[in-house]
Amino acid sequence: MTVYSLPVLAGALFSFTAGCYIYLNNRKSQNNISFSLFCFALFLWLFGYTIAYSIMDEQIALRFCRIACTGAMFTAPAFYHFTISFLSKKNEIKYVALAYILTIMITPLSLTSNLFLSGVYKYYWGYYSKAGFFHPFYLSVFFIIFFRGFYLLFKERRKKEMKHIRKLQIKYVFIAYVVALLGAIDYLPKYGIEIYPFGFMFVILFILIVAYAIIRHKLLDIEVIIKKTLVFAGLFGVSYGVIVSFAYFGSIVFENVVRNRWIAMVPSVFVIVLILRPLEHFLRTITDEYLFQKKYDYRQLLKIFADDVLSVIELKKLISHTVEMLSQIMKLENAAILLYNEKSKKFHTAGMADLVVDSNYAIDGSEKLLVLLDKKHNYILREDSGRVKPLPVDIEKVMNKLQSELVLPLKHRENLIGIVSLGKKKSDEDFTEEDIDMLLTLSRTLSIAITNAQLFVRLAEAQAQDAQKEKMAVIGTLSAGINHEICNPLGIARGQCEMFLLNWADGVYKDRTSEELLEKACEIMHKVIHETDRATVITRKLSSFAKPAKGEIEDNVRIEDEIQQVISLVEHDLVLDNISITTKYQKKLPCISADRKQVQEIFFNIIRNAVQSITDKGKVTINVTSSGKNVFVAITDTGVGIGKEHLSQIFNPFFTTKDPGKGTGLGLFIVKQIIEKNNGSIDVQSEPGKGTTFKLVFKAVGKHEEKEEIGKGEGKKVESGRERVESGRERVGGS
Amino acid sequence: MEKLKIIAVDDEINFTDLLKQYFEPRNYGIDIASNGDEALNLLDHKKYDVVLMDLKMVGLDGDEIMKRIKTKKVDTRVIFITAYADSGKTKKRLLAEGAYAFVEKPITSLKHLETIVNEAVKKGKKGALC
Repeated sequence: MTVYSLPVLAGALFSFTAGCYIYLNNRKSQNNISFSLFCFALFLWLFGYTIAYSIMDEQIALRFCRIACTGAMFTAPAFYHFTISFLSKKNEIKYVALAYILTIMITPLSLTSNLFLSGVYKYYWGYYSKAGFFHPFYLSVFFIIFFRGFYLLFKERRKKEMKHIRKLQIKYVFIAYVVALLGAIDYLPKYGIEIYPFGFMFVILFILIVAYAIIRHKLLDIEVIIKKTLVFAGLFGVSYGVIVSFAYFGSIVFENVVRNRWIAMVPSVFVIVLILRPLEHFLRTITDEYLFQKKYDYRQLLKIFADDVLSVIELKKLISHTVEMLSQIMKLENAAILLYNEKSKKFHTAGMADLVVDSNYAIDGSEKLLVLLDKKHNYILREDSGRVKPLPVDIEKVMNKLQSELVLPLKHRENLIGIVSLGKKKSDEDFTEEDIDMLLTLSRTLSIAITNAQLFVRLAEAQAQDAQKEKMAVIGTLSAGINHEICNPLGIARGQCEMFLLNWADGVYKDRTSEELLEKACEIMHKVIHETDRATVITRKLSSFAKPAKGEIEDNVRIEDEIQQVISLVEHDLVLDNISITTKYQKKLPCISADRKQVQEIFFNIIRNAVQSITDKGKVTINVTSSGKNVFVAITDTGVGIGKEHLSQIFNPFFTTKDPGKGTGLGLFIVKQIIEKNNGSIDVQSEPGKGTTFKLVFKAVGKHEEKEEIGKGEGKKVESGRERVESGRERVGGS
Repeated sequence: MEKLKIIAVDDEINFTDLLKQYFEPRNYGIDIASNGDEALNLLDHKKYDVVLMDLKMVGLDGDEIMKRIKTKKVDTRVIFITAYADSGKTKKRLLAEGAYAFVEKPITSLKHLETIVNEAVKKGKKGALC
């Protein structure tokens, strides 16, 4: 056994096994019978050569070569037989029989005489048959038969109406034949050309392809195998060719200089190494372009998805983009995505390409298709020839409605959030395993993108809701004050008028003079004016407070004034609850440079918090001092206090210890933002059970000015967006 | 002869003034107090049939007044006149303690108030909200 005979032996064994397997797979089918015959013929051929290569004795080698060639001869009729039965061309059966008979008749000649094989060559790999006189004729007959089969297949392929699986089979068998033709290389050495007969590899490949087509009907990975083998074979062939050429020419050159053909190896190895990669790429491209023209580029698809589609945050756009891309790039008849709706508990169509389905169409979450996707399968393929039982009717119905060929799940954390429904490929080819793999990966990524987009929507909604809640909370706090300060004056104004009118009507004034009455009336009117003025003031205060801050920073903001404003708004809230507010302002406090409205907002929030923390009776003390450079405000309450574990969290957004619905948790967060925006800092100390103190620091501006009308302040307009964060202290820790 | 004795407690002078100008000509005895202390003073010295009190007074001295009335075991009805929309807790508490009624400000009808005052004296301690 030499190294050269090993691959051949492998091929022989493979053919034998394939033949047995295929025959046993279905003993009755003509396809199987003819193909297994072909395999056995191959076996003979290859096995014969295995021995021939390994034998030293020329005569025995010759005998085995003859056996091999006989085997090879039978491949033609078997091949023809297979073609006819595969294509069901009943009318040509007689020609098949003819071919067989012919071959059988020649057999004794090929085995014994010199007509076909006149002898052997001694090549470097062993003995190989030498073509005899009759050989070329035999060869032409061989090719005639072969091309006949080829032609029949080709014609068949052109036919339009057939099941698309059939179409696929034919296509692949056709390709396989082309491949097998390459096996004819093995005839070259018979004519003296010293090339290792590796053509049998192509024949093996041919067997693989056809066998797969017969048995499986689902030509999934065939593509890849074909491609890879072709590329490999091409590479091998070229490498081999290079080595041989170098060896040949090298031996001529070096024969006199160095009597060693192996030296030629060195430059040839060099060349091979250099050209291997580009050659591989070249061969790959060619096979891609010419053999599998209608293939889409996976890489293009994935790239487009990653760059374009998946980075879209807006849900609608994301979905519509996705279906379009999928449909376009994979050249599908249609594509659709359905998403789960929590309210309706159904899967509604979120995006469709080339599909016309009622916009109200929705699949209930309990639908079998969905359950199956959720629990068991990774995907559902309509024409899955690997499936034993046919698709359940329910599932087929849904897939029909969606004109779907392949359905993939969109899952987020084990939950089915949607499905991707893909129609047939326009080329009518099946979805290969490669396709499905890639689509599954894609759908996983898509799920994440969709979840993101959905969360984004929810987040935006939540933020809007929170802003609304905060507004409501603020209004709620003020409602007591609103009521009192407006209703009281109005009530009094009204009451005074009513009283006068009733008294007049009931004759209470019958003894009064007109002058007295007039006086009385004027008195009442004064009171009415006084009361309506009161109401106006509070209304103005409130509307001013309610207006959003414009972001104007003024240099003459007096903290004490702003605090008083806020107190006047909230004090009515405190009355009922037995809470008092006391203030203490240091004399000659400097002004601060800040946004007036925002400063009010700060105090409003803190005072409100302070008040709300007091459960029974209590008081809130506000102490304002200054060091000249800074203004310090300390707001102390006798409330429930804040626990150590919460102290560091209170400035976090959405943090609240109140019951749900009673607080948004945004108050102090906003305070912190504003304070830092206005060049200040905030600190908190608390003792649970005793109370809390908030300490605020503001930067002072110049000297304290005389009290004057701050009606229209000299506001300095500052670019919005300026945010200088005070590098000052913000110790938020335990007390 | 005086019909009923009323004490009106409110810090808004213009309010108590209008009450006085309404009730007095109609033969009600009406005394004014502008804060809790004054009210308690008056309650100690005289007997009143009805107390018209703003809820604002509650919390500070209002509860005191309620207590005084209770301890005296006098049949003085307390009617709260209030501008406060929310006082659910307080309302419940006061009703439980024996307040007769709550009237909302602004008062839409003085006549209506008068009716309530009369009813309060006729009916029992626990009454419905107006």
